[in-house]
Amino acid sequence: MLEVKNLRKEYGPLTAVKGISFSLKPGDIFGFIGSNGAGKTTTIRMISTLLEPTSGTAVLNGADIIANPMDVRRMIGYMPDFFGLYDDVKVWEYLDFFAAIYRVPSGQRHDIITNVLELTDLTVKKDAFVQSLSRGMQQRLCLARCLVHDPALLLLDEPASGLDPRARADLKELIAELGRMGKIVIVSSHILPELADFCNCVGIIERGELLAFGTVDDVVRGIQPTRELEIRVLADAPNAARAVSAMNGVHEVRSTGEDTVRVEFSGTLEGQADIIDKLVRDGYRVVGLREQQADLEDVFLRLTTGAVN
Amino acid sequence: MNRPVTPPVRTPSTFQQRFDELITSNPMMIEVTRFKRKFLSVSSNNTVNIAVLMLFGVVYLAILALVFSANGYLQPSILVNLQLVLVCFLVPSMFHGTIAGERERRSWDLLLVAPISKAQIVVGKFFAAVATLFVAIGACALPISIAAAMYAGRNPDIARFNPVGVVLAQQVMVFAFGVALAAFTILFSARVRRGLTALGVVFGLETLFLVVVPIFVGLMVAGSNGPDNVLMDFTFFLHPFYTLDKMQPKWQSSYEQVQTFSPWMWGTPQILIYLGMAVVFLQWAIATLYYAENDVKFIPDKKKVDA
Repeated sequence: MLEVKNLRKEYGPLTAVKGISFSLKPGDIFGFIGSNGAGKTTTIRMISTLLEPTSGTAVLNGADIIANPMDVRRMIGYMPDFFGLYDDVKVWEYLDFFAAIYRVPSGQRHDIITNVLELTDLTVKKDAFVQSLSRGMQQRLCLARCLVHDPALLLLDEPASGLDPRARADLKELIAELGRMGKIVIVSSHILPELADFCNCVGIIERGELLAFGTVDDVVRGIQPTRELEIRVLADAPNAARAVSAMNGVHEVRSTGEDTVRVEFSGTLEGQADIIDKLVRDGYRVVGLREQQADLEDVFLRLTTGAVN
Repeated sequence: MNRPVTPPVRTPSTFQQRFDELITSNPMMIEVTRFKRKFLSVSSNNTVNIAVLMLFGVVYLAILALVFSANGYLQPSILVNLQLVLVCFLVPSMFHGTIAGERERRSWDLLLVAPISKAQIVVGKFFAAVATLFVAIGACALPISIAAAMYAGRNPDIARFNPVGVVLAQQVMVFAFGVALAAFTILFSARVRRGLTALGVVFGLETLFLVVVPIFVGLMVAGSNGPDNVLMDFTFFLHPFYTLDKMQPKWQSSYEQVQTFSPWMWGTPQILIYLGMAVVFLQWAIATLYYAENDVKFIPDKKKVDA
């Protein structure tokens, strides 16, 4: 369980993070969304014990980042947005080194390294020098490093930056798998549709303030309580629009041309089926229905102004 | 009836625990492998390092050839002084990036968020430096010892003072100075963000204390009528080149006899002081590892057990 309590960071007159609070439970994959300079990395670095908060704190499974940073460090895997690897060690040596730092018993290290290499699809590169790996492979190696000690919390700062589409898809699948393994995963990213695919909760930050937090559906509903239904009929769309205007959950109806009805709707799926049913019973020839719902990108653009500290 | 004897459970002492933490169980000892691969292996991937290593190999063979061709007429002290010059240049060049380089490479944060103490990081890097230095000094000791033995063969009066033993003592002194210089370099590497800054500072201070100050003091003493030798000895007590000169038995031209100095005055105290300085520099380096990449500082270790 991770509880972030009123976390705040000031650099002189500049307040980078203005008292952020949220909590996550095992299995949560939290997408941290914000423009460059919004405060994502600062927040992640405070949780990872790299930065001292000006006030507030975070508690991971009972360990406070300020009072017990060493305990917290044993439970986290941190992947920074930019990172360097030792260029004169081999892949397995690198992982063995970090496994030793995290006090993984030497008798278990071989199996653990084999497992994380398999999980990150780097088994064939086990004996390669780190600097010979491609950018995508280095990202995966850094993720493998985060996993050698089986951390409870993974902090991944822009893990997909610089990756090609296939590597991104692989990474997405890997993160989803880590969530299924019961780890708390915090992922910051600019690529919003990707986050919506595998995150079960998101937070939107701007100028150090958490503007929204919750499941993707809750956040979207919070900003846009209705969804737009686009119903196509063969003819007589204006009358069809009038026919459904008084139904439950319908907020606004308008017709576009002779064949399209647009309905602002906030009801249930049953209510949605009722609309189709009524149109058919009233003799309108329904050709199709398309539901247009705001997505994470819409929410982000509507909530934020792009301003930075 | 025989009662089973239970062996007493031995609890490791605090010193033993500390020793294990810093030396035997310190994961940062991987640095020894890294340094070996970087500076002492032609199988590394760094072309520049391989080229430098090959160059040193050629120079080494040339020195061996010079020693044998000189056939006892080459004073070993020349080679020892040359070795010390190399230490003065090579140690900062090799170790200026030990910590600042991690910051530049952006691998430093990964260490800071790991449950490893700052003392383990510094000691691991220091031991890697010392191991590299030991191998380099050891390699140099061979031609210098051969030169000393051949020189003694040519000069029976000098031979009475065991020039090979003196040369080996000088090697220990050079090694101790190199250890102190390595710790000094690591200290500045820990205090700055850029490796080149650390290199510049160390070279600057070396130039100041090993060249500028001696010239200045030498000029002052040359114009005075006081006890020059005492003042010089006091001023340059820790100067490695001055100490090497004092350790070396040599002809006194005006009396045709060999002049020597007590090893308890020249050699032993300097070695001990250099090693003590190394410990102080390392402690200082541990105490100054404050900031992470791009940040002012990371969480100070007020409450946790650390160095």
